Amino acid sequence: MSLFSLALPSTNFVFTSSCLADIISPGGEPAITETSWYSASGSLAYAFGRATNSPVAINATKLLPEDVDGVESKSLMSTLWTTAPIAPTNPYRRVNGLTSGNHGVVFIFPRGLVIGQNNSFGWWLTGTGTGTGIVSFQTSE
Amino acid sequence: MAIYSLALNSTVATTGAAAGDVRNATLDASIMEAGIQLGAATASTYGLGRSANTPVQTSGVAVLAEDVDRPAGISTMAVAWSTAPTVPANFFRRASLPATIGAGMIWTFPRGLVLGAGAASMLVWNLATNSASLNFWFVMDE
Repeated sequence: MSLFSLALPSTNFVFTSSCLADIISPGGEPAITETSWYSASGSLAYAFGRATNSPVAINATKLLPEDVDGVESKSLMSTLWTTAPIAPTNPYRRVNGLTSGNHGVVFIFPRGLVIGQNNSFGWWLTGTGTGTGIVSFQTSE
Repeated sequence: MAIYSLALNSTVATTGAAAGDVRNATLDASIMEAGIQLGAATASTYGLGRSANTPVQTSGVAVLAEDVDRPAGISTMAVAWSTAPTVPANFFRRASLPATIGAGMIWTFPRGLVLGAGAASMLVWNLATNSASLNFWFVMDE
């Protein structure tokens, strides 16, 4: 098993239920070991969970191996879709951001949160905001 | 054994009442992590403790498998009850949070805080008139 990670900027910190970024695993069963977001804008609420649909990404980006000698990741992150991820009814984590901007949160999953083949995990807004931010994932594959 | 978790939002702000709980009706399950975080700017004090009674949840939500290939979770979390939880004699953890949206606390239990099957709930208890919006989550090994 090796570790992979990637951080992408997102301009999706805008609409209620908009997905900030997601991660999918077309092959194998990678496990999320860490995820984070950083927001430039305040007064937003966030939920992290498994998408209820099968999103179709545009320009998905593979996670980067944390060991330079490692193999390629099977997981891809995206912030843009032709079929956008739909938020779950019940998330694994939910948090409110500060009223000031420029803050973030990191969650770790020491035993790994298994994505499942062709499943999607993401961060969604549960309120309306304006702004940009960054989302990152780390996987064990 | 597998890992499960779930996050809910509670609007129960009343002092001397549970904001939320987790229980398992049929298995001995272990709490590996508990988290609380304010969604409203009210200075708040919470305790994490075992209910003195056996509560009956209303609309309990099952925890979610962190491995997609595992069976559905059995522990359930709730923010309402037909038999309300009663106050723990003592608390495993207590925390006071400032009147700041986003303030929170994460407690971890590397060896597990065991819930007895069909017995008491583990409560997030309001030790003051607290935030009317509380995000909370439990990570379970069951």
